[in-house]
Amino acid sequence: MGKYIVRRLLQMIPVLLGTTFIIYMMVFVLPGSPLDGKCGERPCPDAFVKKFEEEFNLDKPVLLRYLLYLGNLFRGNLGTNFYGNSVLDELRQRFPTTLELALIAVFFIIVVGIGLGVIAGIRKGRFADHLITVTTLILISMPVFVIGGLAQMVFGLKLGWFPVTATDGTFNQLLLPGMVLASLYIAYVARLTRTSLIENLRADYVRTAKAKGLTRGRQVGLHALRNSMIPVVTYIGLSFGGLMGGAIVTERIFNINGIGFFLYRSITQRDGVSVVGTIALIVIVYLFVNLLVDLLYGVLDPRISLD
Amino acid sequence: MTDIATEESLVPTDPAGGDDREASLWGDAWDVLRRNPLFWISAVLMVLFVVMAAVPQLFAPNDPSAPGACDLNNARLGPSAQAWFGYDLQGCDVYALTIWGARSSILVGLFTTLVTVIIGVSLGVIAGYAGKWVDTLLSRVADVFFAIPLLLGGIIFMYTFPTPTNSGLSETALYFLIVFKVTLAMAILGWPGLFRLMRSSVMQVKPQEYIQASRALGGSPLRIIRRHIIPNAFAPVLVVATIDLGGYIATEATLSFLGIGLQDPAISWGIAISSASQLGYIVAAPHMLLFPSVFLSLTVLAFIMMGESLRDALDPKLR
Amino acid sequence: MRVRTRSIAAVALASSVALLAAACGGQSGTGSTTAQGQEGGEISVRGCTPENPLIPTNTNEVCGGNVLDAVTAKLVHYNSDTAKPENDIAESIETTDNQNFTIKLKTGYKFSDGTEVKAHNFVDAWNWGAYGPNGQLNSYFFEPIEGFADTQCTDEACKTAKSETMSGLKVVDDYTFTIKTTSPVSNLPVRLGYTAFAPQSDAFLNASDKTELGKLPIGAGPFKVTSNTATEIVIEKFADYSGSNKPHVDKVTFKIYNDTSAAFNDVVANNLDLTDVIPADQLVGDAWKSQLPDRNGSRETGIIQVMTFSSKDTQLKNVDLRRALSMAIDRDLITKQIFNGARTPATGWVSPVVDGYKAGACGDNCTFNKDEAKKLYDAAGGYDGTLLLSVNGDGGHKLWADAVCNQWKANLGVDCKVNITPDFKTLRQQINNRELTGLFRSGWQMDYPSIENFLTPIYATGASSNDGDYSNANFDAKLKEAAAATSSDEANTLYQEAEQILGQDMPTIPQWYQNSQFGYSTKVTNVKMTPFSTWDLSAVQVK
Repeated sequence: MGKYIVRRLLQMIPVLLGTTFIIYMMVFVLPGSPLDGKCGERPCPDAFVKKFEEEFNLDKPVLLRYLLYLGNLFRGNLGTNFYGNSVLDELRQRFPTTLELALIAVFFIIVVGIGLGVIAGIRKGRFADHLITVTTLILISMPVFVIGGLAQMVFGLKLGWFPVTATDGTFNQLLLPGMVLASLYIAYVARLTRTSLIENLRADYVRTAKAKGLTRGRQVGLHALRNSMIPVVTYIGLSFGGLMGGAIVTERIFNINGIGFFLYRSITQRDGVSVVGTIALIVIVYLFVNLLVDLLYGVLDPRISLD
Repeated sequence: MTDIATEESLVPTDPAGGDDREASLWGDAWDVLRRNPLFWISAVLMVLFVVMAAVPQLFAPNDPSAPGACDLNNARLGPSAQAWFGYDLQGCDVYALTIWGARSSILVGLFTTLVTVIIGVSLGVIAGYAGKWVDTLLSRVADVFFAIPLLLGGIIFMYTFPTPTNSGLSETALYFLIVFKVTLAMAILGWPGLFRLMRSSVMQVKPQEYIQASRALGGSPLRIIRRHIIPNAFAPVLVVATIDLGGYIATEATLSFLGIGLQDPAISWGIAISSASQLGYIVAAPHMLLFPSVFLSLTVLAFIMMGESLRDALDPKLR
Repeated sequence: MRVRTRSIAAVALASSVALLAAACGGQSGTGSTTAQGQEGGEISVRGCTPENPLIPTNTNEVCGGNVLDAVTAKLVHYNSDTAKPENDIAESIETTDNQNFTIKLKTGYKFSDGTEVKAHNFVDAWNWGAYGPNGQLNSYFFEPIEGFADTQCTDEACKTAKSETMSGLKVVDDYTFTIKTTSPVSNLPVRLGYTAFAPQSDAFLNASDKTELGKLPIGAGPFKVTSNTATEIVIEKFADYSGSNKPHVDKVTFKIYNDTSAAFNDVVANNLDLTDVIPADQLVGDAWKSQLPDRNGSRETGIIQVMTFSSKDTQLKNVDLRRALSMAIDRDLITKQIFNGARTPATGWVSPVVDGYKAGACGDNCTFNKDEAKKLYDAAGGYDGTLLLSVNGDGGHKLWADAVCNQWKANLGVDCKVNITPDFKTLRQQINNRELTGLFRSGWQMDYPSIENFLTPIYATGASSNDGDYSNANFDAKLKEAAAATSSDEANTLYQEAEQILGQDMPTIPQWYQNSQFGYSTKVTNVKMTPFSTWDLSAVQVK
């Protein structure tokens, strides 16, 4: 096991190299240069262009720029973005907020998603099951900005139960955005849990357990649910990765200073250094989460071997 | 592929069964399906949507993208006898938009889902079944793709492969080309989810006795995968893919709003939903959002129900 | 031109026309004036992330500009109601020929580091801003000054220039300096209120590393920056400020918002005191006013939107075709239905808020006339192929572009398509490279309140923002004549005549003038917006 973990950690190095390279190149080939539109409808003064290009190495070939970036990266320097801020500082300020938001969302996904899924699975074909299906459909067909906007209006503005925005990023402020963010994933997780549970409830070992006289609660809890968890855990891992960079809309609605919006803005600014730094961070988180998920497989189903 | 009968008789509980049982499997499935109302509801909905996508004129005679079809004077007016679903921000008939929007939305949703399922499932099975370095390689590649934001990847994909202008292609060919490009752009970034899901299911199915038995009996990997692994590991992918379908229909709008999706006059449910989604509009003119959303929901519902009834009918564990 | 932050279109992009939204044509920028405010107190204002260091010669966009406006004082100050320039640090600005100016300063003005503002603080700051190797964004504002060319880079790497100073600037004594321009500039005094012309402290001019002073700038304005982080910028009342724009509040916090809707909702909930942008969707049915009863306002501002004809598109060289396209747009209907009355149909190329504005330069060409348009269109031979109207996807421009295209299709029968680029940068790149055919969107926000600022930088032959490559010798001659005029009335008349020439050539299609809507919390009173769509932070008071 220890060896396996070490190997997985070592794999991060080539993945990071590959990702940073691909992303760096992608930002480079995006249409529009960092200086287009920088001065509005006017072209920027030549002298400014020269200085800007020199400051951000834009006058050098893209491969050399990437190598320079990489060199700095190994020295722990993530570079300075076009706004003149250190990318490391930006990430250090923003990442904890995004992480907290994602954790809150994952909490709701686990509790509500699995909870609903279990209810729907046990009561398949009954009212509760249908209700959950319909709710799921509504969540799917409403974009996040509808759900987020309505939640903000109703629970924030009208009822005053939650703060309207989360500018400071406190736990209290992040609760409502966390729920909004979780909503779509809840739909997925509930349906996954339901399906897996139904399948496993039909399986032989549950019939055996039933024959042995175990109560229905224990059948579900101990056997079927545990065996149903593998796709669900996989999906929650995926959602966590998605929550890292994909919370752009929610971050905008609730004015959260996280990495999602930062990433978005950096792409529109053609700010390669910021984009690469942020995505590298997301990849690292994602690799860790996936490692954790893979380790969980072994716990949930001892027959699965990782090596 | 040797001696099917022997293998069959020796394999413990495999569910999915062999060739000799294939015909009866489908026959049985059909019997189950026929009695399932869910199946019929979803089938009727699907046929309806397909007809709508193919010949929208049947439901709404007026093409909403024709010159003069939209009158700005009608902007945001609610449902009336003239326009059952009301008018949108440009004064276009929401009913006509919804009907005519079915084509792009269903094509994009369906194709993208298909492509992601094909890539995700095949790579997922390979990674899960082969394990070792194959798994490592595929998993890490998936990690990288998962981390690329749609905004970045989408723009680059669409700009790297520009749609030829003045190429002599007919309007229809051009339309399908663009739909195809939009599909690919979303699928390239969308497959890692299904990949990981399939991989996990395969990893769970692989150690089961019946698989071990097949392997011990020298069943070729391809056969084992096709006969045993996929049928037993497909359920989670089916669940996620049917929901994803709705997601892709909505995501298409994101690309179109960036000018890299469908070309003007772009009509789709996603675009209709997105442009009606701001809070002020929801309060002032909820019909602009409601009707396209209902159609999107019904489509997803049809696929979810169809998926569910098919799985119930084909589920190996039920046999 | 000060760049407006392109409204950030989220991935899902329901985004706002918001940033450039406009109002019911109200001239007054004042919200409520009835309630009595107190002295002191703190307020919070919607802010956005400055894109450049807070250096007057290096900030050209609203996010940083709003902060700099509050912390700098210039020679002249624009009246927040009328946009008329009034002397601020300047005691007098005198000239007899519009080419040699003598500027006398008031005594006693202090920088926030305690030093006094003297003549050399202007001359040295301007020289520093113009000097090529310093690479300042706003260097072109110093272009009219004699000797500017010598301060520009002589080498490829931009490290050296012939001169570090402009020969047209001379310090006479501590409180007097002179400006000589290369050719007559009749509106120079009006220009001197732009941020780029702010004086700089000795501390800034002598500092070798200006990074820190770009975060916490030293200015001679009514406020000083006390903290500057990624989420907020705090400015506090500068105790030794001796100008006439003394603020009432002690402290203003610019809270950084990524989205205008979030800021609007915070104002509704009284979590934020001022927002200068109302999201477009909230304008529908005046929803914003009902949510902000007695705490809303709108203000005509110096912004105009036009559509520029691509110079690459030979078919569009036909003036009758241009007229037909312009006449086929029902501006009244679009401003009513798309912008909910929050923009004013344009009748010319110059914003009504500036000195020298005269309505109607576009004449019948900007009046909706379907039949005449169709007649002209057919007579001109129509437009062969697909007419593209290009806009950037991240600014909420799709809404009006769709409406315009629909009207062209319906009224002229032209095959019009809206071509969306992912963002403003992509659009600008394609415009700069002259890749686009058809028409594309152009917007202009004034730098200083003069008719000249809407004509020369955009339509003079070879001008920096002349995206449509318009060129007319008569027009250029008029501009030159106007610049050399001896009185401002005479200059304005000549500029108006120049604008009339645009009315004949139709280099662009004027669309609408932009107004700005704003909202404020129940905590504040005397909220006032300037014609530049910035706050008059000296006027606002806490109740």
